[in-house]
Amino acid sequence: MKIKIEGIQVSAIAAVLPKNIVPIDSYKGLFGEKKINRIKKSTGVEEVRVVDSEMTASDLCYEASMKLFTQGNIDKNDIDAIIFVSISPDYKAPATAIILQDRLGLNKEVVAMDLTFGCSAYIYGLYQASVLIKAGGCKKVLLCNGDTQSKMVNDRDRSMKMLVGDAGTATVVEKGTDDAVFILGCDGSGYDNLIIKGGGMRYPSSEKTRMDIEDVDGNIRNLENLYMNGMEVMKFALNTVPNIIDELLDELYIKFNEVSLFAMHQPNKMILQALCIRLGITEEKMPVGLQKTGNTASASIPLLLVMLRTSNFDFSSCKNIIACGFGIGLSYGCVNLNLTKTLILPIYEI
Amino acid sequence: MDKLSELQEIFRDIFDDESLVLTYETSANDIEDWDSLAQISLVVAIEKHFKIKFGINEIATLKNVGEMIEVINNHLEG
Repeated sequence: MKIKIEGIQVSAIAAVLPKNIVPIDSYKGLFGEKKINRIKKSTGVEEVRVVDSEMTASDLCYEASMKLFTQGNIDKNDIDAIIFVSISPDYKAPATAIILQDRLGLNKEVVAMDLTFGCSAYIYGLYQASVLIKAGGCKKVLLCNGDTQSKMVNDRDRSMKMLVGDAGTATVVEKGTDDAVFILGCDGSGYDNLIIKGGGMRYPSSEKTRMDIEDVDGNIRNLENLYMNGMEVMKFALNTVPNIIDELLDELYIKFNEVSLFAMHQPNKMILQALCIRLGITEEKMPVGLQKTGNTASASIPLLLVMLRTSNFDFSSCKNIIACGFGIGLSYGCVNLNLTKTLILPIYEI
Repeated sequence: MDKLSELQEIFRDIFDDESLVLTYETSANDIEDWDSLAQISLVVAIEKHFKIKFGINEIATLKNVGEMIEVINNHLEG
């Protein structure tokens, strides 16, 4: 689907990382030094941030939201909708966004909803926020993107354990003067290439869903762990992303050299390099920001923006930023962002 | 440098093994660490080195050095 939504703006972004750092080198004893070096070199990940057992994605998003209220001059009383986009809800029910409404002290009249997306979460969240504003009922929407994938992967799954990290972000979308073109889509035929199969209604939690099994590559996991078929997800990304970015730039009447920044979901360095080759752009235009965080799923794009801000990237002239997410679903989305007037807070730790 | 030697350099870098010697028959069965992650790394490294773009369906099937050289040649000639 392609849709242009007029009269919105992204006014503020904050991100929070858990303090606990796990260097990839710490897995040398478990997986062997040679393998660790190879994974570091190919994925770009050097360390990940991991929550403790008590902390959830909503805790990280709560902290990020509070930073916007206390440091970002955002009045919580002006928020009339909250959207929590994640694959790490606090509970199966109720929606985490409703719990956040109370914790954050938002008005009881707010619209609160969860969306279940991971790698494409930021684009779907921005879309939903923009639709709520465009429909006329909301003026200012709080979008929370966060995940704690460290809790979903098996400790002995080396294909995932060293690549995923935890993070939470908060973004304020409000009425403004910018126009955003969204391209969104999905291919449900690939749903089982990135999935937590057990523990839902289809395969309720049982001894069988919790039984560890070794795959052909020597990775050990059970049906209640996050599983990814990396090759199929990469093929999906390479097959989809260049086409939708081409389509988006055509719709915006801009060329590749007029794009300030491609802010992509951060799965690993290899996929981003392969996308640069296919788009015909330099790697400087598509920054890799996962070295110190790993793949943070729902939080990856706003976290990348905050990390760039923290390293003094100048957003003041970035009228044409293309944000793009792709992955679990399988789903994809991209949108143009004007962040020249956006307040982007430095990164925080808890 | 011929294609086999160029590929050998790429393989040595990806697998972090300077003693690795490739033949046209070398396949994923001969290199213990040649898993799906290594396959993706190889594909991207080969694309960058030879300045080619593999087709989506070629990416997962290139599990043999001889086939890789054939596909690389096809792309370079095409």
